[in-house]
Amino acid sequence: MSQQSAVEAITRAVHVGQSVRRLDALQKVTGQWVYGSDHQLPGMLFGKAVRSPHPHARILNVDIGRARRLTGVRAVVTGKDVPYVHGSAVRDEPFLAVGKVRYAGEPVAAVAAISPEIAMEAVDLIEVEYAELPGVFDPLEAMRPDAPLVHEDVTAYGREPIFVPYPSTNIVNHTKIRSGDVEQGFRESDEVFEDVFTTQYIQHAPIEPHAATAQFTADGRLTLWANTQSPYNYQRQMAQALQVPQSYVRVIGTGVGGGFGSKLYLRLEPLAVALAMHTDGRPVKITYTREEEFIAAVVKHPAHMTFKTGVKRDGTLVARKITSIFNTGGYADTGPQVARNGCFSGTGPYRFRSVWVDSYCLYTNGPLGGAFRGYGVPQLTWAHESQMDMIAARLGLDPVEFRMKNLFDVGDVTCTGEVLRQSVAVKETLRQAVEVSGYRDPLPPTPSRSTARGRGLATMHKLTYTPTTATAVIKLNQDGSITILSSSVELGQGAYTALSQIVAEKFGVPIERVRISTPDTDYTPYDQSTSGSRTVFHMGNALLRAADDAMRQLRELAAPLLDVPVHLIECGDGTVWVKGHAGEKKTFAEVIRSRFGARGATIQGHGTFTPPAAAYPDLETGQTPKLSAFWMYATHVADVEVDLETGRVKVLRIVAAHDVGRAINPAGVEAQIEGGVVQGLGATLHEEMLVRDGIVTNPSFAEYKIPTTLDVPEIVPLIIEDPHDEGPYGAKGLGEPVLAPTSPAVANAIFNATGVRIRDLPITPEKVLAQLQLLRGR
Amino acid sequence: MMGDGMGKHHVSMTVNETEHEIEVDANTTLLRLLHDALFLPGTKDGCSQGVCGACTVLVDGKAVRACLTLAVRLSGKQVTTVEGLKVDGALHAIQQAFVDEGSVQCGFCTPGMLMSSVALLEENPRPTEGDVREALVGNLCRCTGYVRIVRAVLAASRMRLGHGPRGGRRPPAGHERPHA
Repeated sequence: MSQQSAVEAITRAVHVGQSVRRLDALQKVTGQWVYGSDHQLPGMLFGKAVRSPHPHARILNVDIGRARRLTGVRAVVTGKDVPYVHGSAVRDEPFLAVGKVRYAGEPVAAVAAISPEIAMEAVDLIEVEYAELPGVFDPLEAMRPDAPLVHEDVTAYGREPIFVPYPSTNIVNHTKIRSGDVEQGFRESDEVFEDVFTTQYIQHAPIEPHAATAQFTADGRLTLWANTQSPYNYQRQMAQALQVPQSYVRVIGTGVGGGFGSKLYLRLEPLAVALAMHTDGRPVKITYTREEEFIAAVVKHPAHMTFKTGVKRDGTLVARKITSIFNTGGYADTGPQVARNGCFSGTGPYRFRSVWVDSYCLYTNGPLGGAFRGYGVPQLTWAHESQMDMIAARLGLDPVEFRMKNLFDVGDVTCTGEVLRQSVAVKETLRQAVEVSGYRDPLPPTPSRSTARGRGLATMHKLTYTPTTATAVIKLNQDGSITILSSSVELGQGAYTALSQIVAEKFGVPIERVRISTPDTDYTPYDQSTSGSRTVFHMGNALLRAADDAMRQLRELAAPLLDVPVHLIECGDGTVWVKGHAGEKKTFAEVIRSRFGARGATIQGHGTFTPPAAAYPDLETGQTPKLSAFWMYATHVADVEVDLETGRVKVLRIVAAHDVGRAINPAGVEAQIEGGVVQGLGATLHEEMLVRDGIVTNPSFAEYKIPTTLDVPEIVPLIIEDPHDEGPYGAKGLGEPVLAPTSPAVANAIFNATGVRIRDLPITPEKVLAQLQLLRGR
Repeated sequence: MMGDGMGKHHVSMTVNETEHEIEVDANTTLLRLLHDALFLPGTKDGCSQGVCGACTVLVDGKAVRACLTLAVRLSGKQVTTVEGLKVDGALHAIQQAFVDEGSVQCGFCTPGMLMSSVALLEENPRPTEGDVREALVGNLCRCTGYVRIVRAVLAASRMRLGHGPRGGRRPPAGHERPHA
């Protein structure tokens, strides 16, 4: 769509841009939405894993004899029975540990039984002998030449070609950006500041745990029901691991009770599959306990980030050098991609003349780092936005003016060499967040002298992983109603509603006439994944193309009916007509019947979308003409109150402005911003998975506190629209940016209130109080 | 499904206004009974530790955690799950409010939220925002930030006050909502 026709389409839109009720809400408020953990099949068995208590150990012996003999047990497997490996970025992970374990919680054996209780009892009867090995837990230590090796030779594993591991080290990926002469840049700077920032382990904590059911049929084919964010990732990974054609693996997506990245790649599914290989066709279901979510699902990577930034005294940013180190634990999962992706946002949405980035992904014997809403970007955002305010304070600059001076505009070039050609509304997010928050107005006075109030802000930018592909089929039913076949997943983000709005808009039919499928790799066509804030942009475009294809077929059917050439047939509002004769319309159903008779037939439109002109960056320099299909931008303003006696921080309000290109369902956009901000606040103030020598010490909701109703401040979502001419009706994405600026905005507000600068998340009362005491001591 | 024979106990209880005569093990939780044996999947298992609130149901009108409640103790009790919330086939006011206010995202916490909200509104038909936040503090949600959930409970309260104590039905078309 050209810029002009995009704007025209937006102006005419009747569905797009309207706040509509979610299409999945009725089923969800009545308990009818079926999630992975609800799934039941006749004859289903229940699986359970024996997990290593040690973070690094040799497996000397696994005695499964007593478990096998227990009444009700149908299968017991160990690593020797299933010699398969899987992995996302790097294929380094066995279905069950073989030879040694690399993290505490790694599955060593698994049991399938006729009830979960018997499976649990059988697991307790399995005895494993270990010989503990020295572990490595700190990623900086893991980089040393003498560190224990988690994997003997990382380069021996199959991997995607965009990752660069180093032989005989724990470095599983090193991503580089080299842009301009950074040393020269520092020489030309008036001031050079170097600061270190860190982030903590965070659990995704979807309220629904992971759940999967696996079943083999006699022909050797596998069906896997899973609450996955990506049925096609699961199919590809599983077929690759089992070395069978993808047509042998059918993945059926169930309802998903929250994902946030944790359900993007295989995790417990290999256990269910391993057991199902030994149950003579009976299905095996595994559901994680909440404790397993903490110790054996993936977590958000802790990151250690060193930022060296050169700046002119007038506030012009000149040069930046970043070393970021991501701790991915015992297996790579998608850690290499997280470390790679995060570093692309390290400049923040600001112009620099020269940039040098080294981003490392490190194996340790800790919990597995995986995809988490933002893919490394929230970590880097914490660093760049904290340092922006630190520099502003050191140079005596206003935080807003300092940012405005350096923020991207259309035509600017990113550190990876991409010219930003359109939809760069970061300044507008800042302007509106400043205006709506009353940023320049004084804060209301504090209730007592033992508290101090402050205000801070942070901006961000994020790419979407590019290039990726979405495909879709639109089925026009005999009566002219529409069925969408798509593998996009409804995670709660509102994808089904937004995608249905796009299709209703395109055909000009009421949204009630549109139905969207759930994913099933046997029937719904390819979509890479529901991640990376990519769904509305990519699947929306695939659907528009599928709709064009269906409309082309309708026009061809209508031409003989209306007795005019095809090019004179117009299509819209659920009807066709001859150009210039809009008074004489034929419904879709009439057109279909005219060709196929009274019972009609369905018409299938096909659509495929891959963003144009995108290319992977060069491995040595990180340079590419187009890194991302689109860029998302945001600014948050935080008002906080700090208790000077306890160090406790209370967030009073967050104003969150997000450039989404175009909001398809504004109420849905606002709801997602609100939820993301609260998730961001949890990560800012209290959430932290405590890991001592590789062991998670707070693996429950009682000990690991996610925000409750009482932890929520006033949230003011602001939708900024700068349409992207390649997006469906101008839309970009939203899901990941929503939590990224929250943490640094709060930290900057705390500094504004007290002069305390916290560099290490989370911002606990203990850390604030310690700094307050230091300040007072001066 | 209910365990392995030994020590079965007879329980007669009413679930969503249907009487059930059931054999359960001494350690069978209400959650397992509802979800796995009575095929009422709306009651969700988020932690099995009584912390997340996704399994909240009503027992004699009071909100309880089904994962911590033993089925054997419930003889003679009235249990209501999310499947039993509809009134005369129409959505309960709280269900309608969750739909209208956009309070649902992934939806896994939703049944528990609804049941805790119903218990609150039965006890306190006119809650303040603070009352709602207190009443829902034991129901965890990872998607919504609670903003629209709290808003929906307040909206349902207004809807019910305007339309009788049971207040299950939506206001008729064209009828203005009181206080809205």
